[in-house]
Amino acid sequence: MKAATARAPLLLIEDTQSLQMVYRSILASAGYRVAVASSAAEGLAQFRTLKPQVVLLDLILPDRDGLDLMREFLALQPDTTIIALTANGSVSRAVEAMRAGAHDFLVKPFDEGRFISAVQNALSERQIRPSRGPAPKPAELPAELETSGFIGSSEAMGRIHATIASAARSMATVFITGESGTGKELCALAVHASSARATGPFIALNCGAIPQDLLESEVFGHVKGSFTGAVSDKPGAAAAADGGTLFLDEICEMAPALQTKLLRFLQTSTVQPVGATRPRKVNVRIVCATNRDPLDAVRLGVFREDLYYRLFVVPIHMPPLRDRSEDVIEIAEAALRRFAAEEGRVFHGLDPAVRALLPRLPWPGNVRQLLNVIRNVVVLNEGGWVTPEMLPPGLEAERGAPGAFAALPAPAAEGPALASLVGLTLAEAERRLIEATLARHGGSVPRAARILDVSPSTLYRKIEGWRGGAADQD
Amino acid sequence: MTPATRWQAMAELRRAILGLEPHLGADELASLRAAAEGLARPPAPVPGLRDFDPDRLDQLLALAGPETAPVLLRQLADDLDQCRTGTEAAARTGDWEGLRQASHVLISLAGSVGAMSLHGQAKALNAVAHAQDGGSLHGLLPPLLTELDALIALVGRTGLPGAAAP
Repeated sequence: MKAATARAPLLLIEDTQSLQMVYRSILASAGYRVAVASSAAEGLAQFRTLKPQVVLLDLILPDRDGLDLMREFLALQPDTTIIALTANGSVSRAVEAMRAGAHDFLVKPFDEGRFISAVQNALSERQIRPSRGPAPKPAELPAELETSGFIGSSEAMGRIHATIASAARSMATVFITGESGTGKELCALAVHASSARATGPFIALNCGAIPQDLLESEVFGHVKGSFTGAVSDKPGAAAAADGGTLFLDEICEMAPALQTKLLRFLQTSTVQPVGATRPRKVNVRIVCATNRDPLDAVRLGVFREDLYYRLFVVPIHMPPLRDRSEDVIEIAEAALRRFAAEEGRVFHGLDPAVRALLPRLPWPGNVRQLLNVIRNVVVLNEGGWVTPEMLPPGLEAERGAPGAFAALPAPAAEGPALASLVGLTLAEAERRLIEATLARHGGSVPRAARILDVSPSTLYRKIEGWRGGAADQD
Repeated sequence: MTPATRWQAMAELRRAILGLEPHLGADELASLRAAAEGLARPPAPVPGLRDFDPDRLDQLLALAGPETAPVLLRQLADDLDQCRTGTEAAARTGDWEGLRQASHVLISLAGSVGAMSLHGQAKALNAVAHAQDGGSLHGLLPPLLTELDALIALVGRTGLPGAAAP
């Protein structure tokens, strides 16, 4: 196993001599030039002399805190790629290191493959990232992000953009939390777009939307004949995301058995498709999201604690739209421009009454609901200034009174309910039930959601889906 | 045969079988599988060490190579001995920082050489040191030191050809 020799040597700082010998042997046999140091002082001296591109740094050193040393390296030479080494039991230190700018971390003991893979990834990322540039600005993000609600000048969004920029050059896993409809996937896309892997694939997988017995094959792939229905080889999302980013949405819904496999994947950077005899090495950055409190899921025992600590490296919380009401107009105007262009309509903008109204609404379905409202305006009106009359009926009364979706088609007769549903598909029956509940509550999505014991955003998503289906049929 | 040369030989054998696999008939493959099953048996227990995986130590020595392996073994023994001294001294004087450092190193060393039970105990010791939990420390320390002694002895024996096996 010979790797391309790095121009400058790698610097390995490890105070336990036997481990230093082992790590040096592994790196040397893979073709790397390695300089070693056994203390922080020695490491700093070597660093100043050798100017290494990649440093493998034990975080617990006898003469100085490894994290503090890492910060000095980055101050002296911001382009340095640092891989933090720590022992199992001190993972929180590694997480701290990632937040402070480390590229990756390895938990000792680690195997040879994972070690070499981390170094290879660090060097290959350097090749596509010539230097640590300035933080990407929102304006540099793809147009899709600019017009889909991942915008806003609020302090909260400013913090999110800053976090994305600082995490951009790292392999650190990003864990996005937030209510449904707040734009978690867009945030993940922004993380990908801002990173050195922006030209690689961005693969999104919703762990809550795929039956658990199929999820393993969706994530890791399968080989032909490995189970009934596996009629051909399938690479899986992790392999498809090689060189790019894998976005795992609703991560807390993943079954415990698969969580174990995901943890193994994170530790080894290898995937083993269902039925395959050999693992395959991949270079993937993980971004995941949930609308739950992940720590609560850990406390409830539905989410592995070790996986939580592996994933919760760079947390980003997407605030609900009601907590950044100053962004509502900015998002609405961007959406109006985009939807009007798509529909071939000419709108001048939002009139003063609408500009005053929209930020005052609670937006239980968050940005997704706001986008639906603007789409509704554009589709149902010819153009001009957007006035309150153009908004879906009852929008102002969303704070509890009959609401926005009063104008939805009336449901079929509620009649002898069960008998009338027999013969329908489950999806049709669900739609009937939702529409009937909405109608009974004057179109108020929040009220219907309470009765149906789902989140308002779930209902907005379903309604949006039906509209999309109707549009497709037109 | 030293562990290092044995590990290298096994790796070559595995590579050879994998290379042959596409050219073998069903009967030949079945015979190979039967032979592998016959050979597969749990590793012999090492006195004083629970849950020890000898392949890990073998692999470290193979990575070091025949020339460096004896040096690595000596260094391993020294490092483990320092862990023992450091742990005992820190426990005696109530030095939580010293216990954290010693257990941190022991976690890595024990895991790297395949002493998985000791690795788990070192993790527990590290957690106890962080929590400064004196009550748990006294229950944890004696079995940990016993296993550590057994590992130091094993590493010492492994330096001699054919001595890795208990």
